[in-house]
Amino acid sequence: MIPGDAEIRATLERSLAASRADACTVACSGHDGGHLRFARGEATTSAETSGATLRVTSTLGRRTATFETDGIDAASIDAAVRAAEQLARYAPEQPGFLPPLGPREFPRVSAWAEPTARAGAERRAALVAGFLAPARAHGLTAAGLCETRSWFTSIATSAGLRAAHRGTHASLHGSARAEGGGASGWSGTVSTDVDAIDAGELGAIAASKALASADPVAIPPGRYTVVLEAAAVAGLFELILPAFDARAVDEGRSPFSRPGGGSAIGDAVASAVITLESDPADPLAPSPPFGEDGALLEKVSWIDHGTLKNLPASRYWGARSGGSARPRPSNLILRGGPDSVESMVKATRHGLLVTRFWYIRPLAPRRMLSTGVTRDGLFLIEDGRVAGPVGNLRFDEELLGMIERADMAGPARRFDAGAAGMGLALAVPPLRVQEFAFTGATGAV
Amino acid sequence: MNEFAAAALDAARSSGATYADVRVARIRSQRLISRGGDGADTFESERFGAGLRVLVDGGRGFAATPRVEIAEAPALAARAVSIARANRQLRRSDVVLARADRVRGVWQTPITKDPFRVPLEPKIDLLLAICRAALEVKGATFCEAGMGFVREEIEFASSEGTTTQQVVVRSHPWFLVTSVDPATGECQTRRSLAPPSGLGYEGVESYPWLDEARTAAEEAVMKHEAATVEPGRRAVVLHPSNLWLTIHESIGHATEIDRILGYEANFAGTSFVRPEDRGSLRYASEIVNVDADRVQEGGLATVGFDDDGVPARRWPLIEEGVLVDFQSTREEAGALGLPASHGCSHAASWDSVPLLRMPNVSLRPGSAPIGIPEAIAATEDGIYIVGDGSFSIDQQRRRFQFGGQTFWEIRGGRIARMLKDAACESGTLDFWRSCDLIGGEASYELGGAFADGKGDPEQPHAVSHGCPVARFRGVSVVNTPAGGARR
Repeated sequence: MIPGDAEIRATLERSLAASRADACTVACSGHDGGHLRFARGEATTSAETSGATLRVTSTLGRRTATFETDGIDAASIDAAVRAAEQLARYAPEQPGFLPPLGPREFPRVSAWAEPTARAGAERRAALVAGFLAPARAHGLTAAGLCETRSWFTSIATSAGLRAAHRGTHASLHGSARAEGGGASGWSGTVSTDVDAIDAGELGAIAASKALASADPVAIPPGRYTVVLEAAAVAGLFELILPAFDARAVDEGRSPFSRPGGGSAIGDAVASAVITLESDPADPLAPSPPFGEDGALLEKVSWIDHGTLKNLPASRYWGARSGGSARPRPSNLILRGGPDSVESMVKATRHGLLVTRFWYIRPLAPRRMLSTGVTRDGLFLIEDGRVAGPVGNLRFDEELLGMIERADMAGPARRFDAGAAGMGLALAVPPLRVQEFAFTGATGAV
Repeated sequence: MNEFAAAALDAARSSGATYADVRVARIRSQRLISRGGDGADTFESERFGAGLRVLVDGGRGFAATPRVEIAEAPALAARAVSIARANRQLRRSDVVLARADRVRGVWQTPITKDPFRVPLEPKIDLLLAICRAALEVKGATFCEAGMGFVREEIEFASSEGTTTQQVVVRSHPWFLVTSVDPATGECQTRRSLAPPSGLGYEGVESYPWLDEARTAAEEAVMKHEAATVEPGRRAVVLHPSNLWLTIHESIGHATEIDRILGYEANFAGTSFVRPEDRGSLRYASEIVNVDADRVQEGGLATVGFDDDGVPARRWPLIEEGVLVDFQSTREEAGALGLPASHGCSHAASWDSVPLLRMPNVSLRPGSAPIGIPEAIAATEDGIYIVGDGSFSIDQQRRRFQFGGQTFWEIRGGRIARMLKDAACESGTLDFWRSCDLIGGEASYELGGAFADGKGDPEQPHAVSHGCPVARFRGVSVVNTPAGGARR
């Protein structure tokens, strides 16, 4: 069980009361949940953990430092507050110091599903059994992960701000593989509500992809029209997100900087099918309505039908650059379109259907040139039909070019931007992209 | 033994566990970052808790708590055991742990200056000085500098009677210089070459930071005017600051037994290496010898004992180019019927389930006195690559593509000019079999990763790789902005 509202509030108030600093911000977050990992067609590691973290940021004059601890008992709170003050005493003066934010109202975001909060080891085992059944029925093996947890985050400042949010998380994803390792197929999902996860359907998708991936043919490298399933789009967008930063843009370090200076706000940076927004209250990817420093997070449009509209700017950079602050979001939603993976395939004469990418790494920042490989289901599209499996490929592609060349989109679905360590709730659609550059075969399954 | 650990092990046994181990960890970390020399962010944390791992009827369970109190032990054990029982329906085989000696031991990273006893002031002064030194170079537009330190105090106890205590210290100083050409908007960067290490603050103090900051800034600016690489097959001479990462990705991860057996199939991936390849696979040319090493001086994965309580040691992975062994934990060694574990179990924190993590994996230096100047002088036509860059490898570790911080064209045994836009693309076996020159002790350096990701949920791990300069023939060098143009 995660702490109740009253206990969280008491922890925050006790922490602020213990502070002797000129200003103090305390954030308390925690989780309670577990996971079940499976591989070789059976359960491997599984765990249940719970805990809470207290983060204290103390300010003495213009000197600021942060200390974080796992405990929220009285002794841990006092020790953390003293440690933050001790660090602040020796921290450098911050030229851009800004005082903590004051009181304000926050909307309540619904991100809680009681079945997820109650799910235990038996429920996770049942979900994994559901995923494994189709693989076993077809003589395949499988590997993956099921997680369920409840979590909370909260913040309070000596200037009077108080905010708290709680949510639940359930996920199941995995690969079905031929026993000899010659074919692989993936599927997975993330939801607030564990009851929304259809483990059998996910297992059946992974198994059918694995069966369809056997005996792939080699195709030459080159530029192909690609239909990117949502998981593939999520992998690419995780790399695009860090470029959304006003300071990096103003200093010319971002792909959204204009040559010669200034930002590309107002410019067409993507095709008209690309609309990127944040909205903590959106049920597609519900997230905390406040940022790391307690700033209110409201609905904001970053890219509207291809035109760059806004960029996140820290309070420090907003003040220094003479612009306005816009906090980093807690979720990102790439709005979808009216199409589906099936209709995109049908509309493609010659191309590739990509299940997901792997090991995507930046090569050059200016246009977000990146490399990576396909895995767990790559198929040739011929005359509007999936014609058969092809061997996995490496790409070297400019992600800015990719979003310029996207011409069809399907419905957005939930992912979490975990791989890049951003902790964002993310929702993305499948996309069709023209002229996607593949550079060679990997030979891997 | 810690009283809590004894209580947890007793409770686990009473609840039906046939094996149990408990890990009590206190992990302190410090991060300092200066962005552009405008002050510095100061962050410290201390994480404390315990994780209990059990085997019940041949199945695994794990539970963790931040309340390390004797009264908490029964509930913790009950939770771990109930998880193991809940998964019974999904079991196809029993976990068999390879035999391990009962060990009682104490170990500490041999450092001379504890980074947590060094005041903030000199650390922050150094970060600001690095930023200033870099930004004094004309054309350098931004510099970010940071330091990270970790101190782990870990007590381990198992139901087999093993008890260990160790203190592990790691340091990670770094910087990144950026140069933006205002006319074109082109952005070039150069990261520091100093590696993270299993050293104390003495490792920071002994490094020529300000000289390197100036050099890095000059090289970032130079990249704007550098010639774009002509794709083709070339000899590449790799500085240790570049080669360590290829060792990590294409030998280190490929020889992890858990990958080979399929435990990581859905996330980190599997391996092209098969269990039966041990002792027969021609992995590399005959001059290549690679060791797995948990006792390497200054190594990030250097410990006294692993998180199964197995003592640290060194063993060969590749001898004269032939694959001779793997990395293992007690569980994977047991699954393969091997007599003992190589001691590669590691958990990132008290609430992480231990899994196989890479030991330091290092290329042995050759016996000839070949340094970097000699390696370059011996190369008629090639590219010399310094510093690690972007690295991407497939999920079976068959083929990879890697970059670097700087690329230098070699003509007639001399550095002719700087190149840019290059990456090397190769198959793992083709690459290692093409190695035709390995430097001696004089060019040997450690590189490393401070937060290598693996596992699902993902866990970071720190690991070093030592190597001398080395040359590889006929490597495909591609031009990345040209869509990975190849010839």
